[in-house]
Amino acid sequence: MTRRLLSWAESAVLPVVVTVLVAFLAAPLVVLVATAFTQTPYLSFPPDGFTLRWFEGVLSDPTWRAAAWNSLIIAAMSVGVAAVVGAPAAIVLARRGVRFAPSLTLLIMIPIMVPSIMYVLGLMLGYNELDVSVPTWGIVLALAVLTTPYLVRTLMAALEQLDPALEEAALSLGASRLRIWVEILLPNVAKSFFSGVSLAFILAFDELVVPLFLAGPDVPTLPVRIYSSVAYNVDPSVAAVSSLLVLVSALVAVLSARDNLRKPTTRKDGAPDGGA
Amino acid sequence: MTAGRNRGGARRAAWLPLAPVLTLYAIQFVVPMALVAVTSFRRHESAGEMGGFTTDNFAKVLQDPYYLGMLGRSLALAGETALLTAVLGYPIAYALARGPRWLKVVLLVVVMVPLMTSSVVRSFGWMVLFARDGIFSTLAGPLGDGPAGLMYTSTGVLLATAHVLLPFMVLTLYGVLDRLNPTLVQASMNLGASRTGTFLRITLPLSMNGVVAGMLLVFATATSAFVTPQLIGGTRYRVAATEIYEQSINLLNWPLASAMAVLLVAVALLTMAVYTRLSRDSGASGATGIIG
Amino acid sequence: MAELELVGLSKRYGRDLVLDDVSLSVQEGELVTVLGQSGSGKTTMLRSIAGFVTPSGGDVLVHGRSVLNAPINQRGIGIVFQNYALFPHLSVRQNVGYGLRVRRLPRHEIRERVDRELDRVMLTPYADRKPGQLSGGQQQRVAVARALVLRPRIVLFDEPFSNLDAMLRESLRRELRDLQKRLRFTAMFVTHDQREAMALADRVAVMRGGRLVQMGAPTDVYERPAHRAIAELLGRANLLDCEPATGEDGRALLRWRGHTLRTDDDLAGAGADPCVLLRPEYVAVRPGAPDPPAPNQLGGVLSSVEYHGSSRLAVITEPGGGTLLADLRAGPADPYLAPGDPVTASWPAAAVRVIGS
Repeated sequence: MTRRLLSWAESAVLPVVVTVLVAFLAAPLVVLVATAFTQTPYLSFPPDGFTLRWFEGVLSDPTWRAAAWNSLIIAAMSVGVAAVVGAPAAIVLARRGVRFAPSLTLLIMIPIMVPSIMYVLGLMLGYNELDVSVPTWGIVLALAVLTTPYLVRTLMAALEQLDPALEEAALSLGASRLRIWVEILLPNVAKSFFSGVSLAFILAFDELVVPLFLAGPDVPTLPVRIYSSVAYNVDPSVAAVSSLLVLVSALVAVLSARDNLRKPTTRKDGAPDGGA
Repeated sequence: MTAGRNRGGARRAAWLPLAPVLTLYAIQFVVPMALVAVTSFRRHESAGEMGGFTTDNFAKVLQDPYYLGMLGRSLALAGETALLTAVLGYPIAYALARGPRWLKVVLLVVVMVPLMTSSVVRSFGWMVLFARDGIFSTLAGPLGDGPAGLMYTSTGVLLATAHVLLPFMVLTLYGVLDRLNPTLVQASMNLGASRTGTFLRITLPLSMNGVVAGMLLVFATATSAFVTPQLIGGTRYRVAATEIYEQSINLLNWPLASAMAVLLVAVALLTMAVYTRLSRDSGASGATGIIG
Repeated sequence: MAELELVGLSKRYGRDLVLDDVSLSVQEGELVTVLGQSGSGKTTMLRSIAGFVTPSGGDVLVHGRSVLNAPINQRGIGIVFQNYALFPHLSVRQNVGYGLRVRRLPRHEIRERVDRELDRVMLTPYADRKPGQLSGGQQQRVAVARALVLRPRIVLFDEPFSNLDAMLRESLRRELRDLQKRLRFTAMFVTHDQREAMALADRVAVMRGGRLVQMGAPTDVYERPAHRAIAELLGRANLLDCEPATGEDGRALLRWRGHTLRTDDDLAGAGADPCVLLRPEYVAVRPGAPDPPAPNQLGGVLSSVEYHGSSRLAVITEPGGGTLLADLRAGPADPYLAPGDPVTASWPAAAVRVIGS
């Protein structure tokens, strides 16, 4: 960045404003983490004393562990479904391999534009009509609908950024289509695909509305369990669980921020991006 | 691009990879939506029982001040949230786009962490802050909300909802500001404009599309916000989404819940249609593009 | 037999005919450059040969056999792409060895051949780098090595130097020419740079509006363009619209703005308004007005001189307002030739080329 003169607005006001906003963004999360260490049996901020017993209690409580496990399994399965149905679609659409590709792409994005409460309500009515209780895979499929758009979008963006000449070069060197996918195209989109999968997983893991409407109290996911604790009998152990989740988000965010900024944003003189 | 591209058979086979996703959407998305649409025209007999077809539900929602107020509150909340996030998000996005590297890293983390944390957890954090004896209420006391705290108030719900949606706004604006050609700013200053003048005449107008796109995105998402109003607003501050939950899960009045959902979706889709058009025109990739 | 032959090749996109009935043949070991502006169809032609474009009509023959139905990955035609298309996730060595690995050659043979090829293009020290860590010129060499390591009979070059600066282009051009003569592969090289096209080529094919408008040795195409547009495409040109006349001796001659032009060309087929090409380098300039008026010379005023280092380009305006370009030969600059000076331009009859208008 070149040296420059700062106006008063940028030199004095902006830092203050940004600091306040950063505090606003961080406040609720910081408060939760702090509260989780309180010695009082109720939530107290600033925390009263210091103890790890809420964390210990939560980590050894079978119901919390079951909820976390449920969330992990359900999120993993739904992302798996989303990847299996989304990847072939993304490949075809990125290549404009079918007619109306742009409209179809928009169609696939619709679930993130429609309030999820509507189709979740519909699913609930549907299972009710069939007179069955919602099986676990019902939640998995509902979450898959929610995450597929993100996966398709990420993969498509990565594929569209690839130089089409790469494929032509490989063809001219004698490679088969399958080989080109495995050796040339997929390695070059793997990173974006992985970040798409991670994002989809986080979304599925955090989702409340879908399992809240569909699942009874028997298969609570972590957000459902947190929700009912917060709504009905809140104590510092909920803060402890929340802190653990914040910690995980922070780790992922730091990793992805580093990654995001390391990536060169522009390609110079048409040369392919560095492989490093 | 390839030799077989124009052959009819190859064209037809090209649809095959779309079959799984379309099937999933048909069963898990289209059918449920249709079911809600149909249900919204059924008569509510008693809890969980539905009769013949009627338009009473829509009449009720659109005429009964209680339900109409609920819809109005949802729209008002969405509009206020959109405005608030734009005002709060712009400085962050600006600093993110123009600031030094270390600041970018810090801001990106600060924006990403809430984005990746469940909204249940985030709303819970605000509950602690807003509690009767929480520091936020003590701080906000002189501002007129009194010692009763921000729990169950429109201000509390607004602040927490804005917090939940702020990352989307920041990322949308960042996408636009980051792509703004820096030579335009240099040209403007070379022509004699001050930094502030350059910002007001060049940067702000050129990023206005992003502001509008971000506001529409936030608006559409906020109309159906459920978690935050449910936890912070509780029974005292109810919006359309939480009322749908109440009607469908607790009162089992599915037709009424469906009618409200249909109206909510209509508003959201309309907003998103404008958003898609706008973001396509302005080249703003939108938050979904950036996080996606 | 020709190594590569195009027979009536056409390509239509909707209503646009981007390649219009192109026929040409390239001999074994020959380097043909295809010169044309963007939109002339040259790239479409190259891509049709490679198989990336399916022609709407015509045929592509390699050694007399049609390759249109051969899959792209089995045509055995090497390609060097404009932006090199190096695989970003593979090292230089892996990029060069890719085609050999695809062909399942034994590992030691792959290594040997890749090493030899890297040595040939002077990239041995960079073998383990990724393409992103190389300069443009180095990437270009990797792309050439990657195509050549397979020993293709035919190699296509799609404007491979267009992203490089002028100095580098010139040296790479010479390297490529040497390599091609040494390895004796048949090459087709697409470019829009007329210097590059002429410097490299055994023969130049000039494309315009989807058609092949002229093909021949660089000197032929330069000296005897079939069309005034071709004359302009290949370099600076005075294009003089003349009228036919008859001299006192009864010989046919041409008149341009009252000046008399004699030519060695046959004027029989020149038509009613022949166009004359007079290259600036054939126009000699001396100070002062013409003494006795004579054919193939005219008097005028030097209106500007553009300094080009090795030469200077003069614009001479004759009394009627017409302008003539002339190259002032290198050497100690004539101190008395400055804009505004009266000058005489003259040229030999052999330099007056009559071309179709």
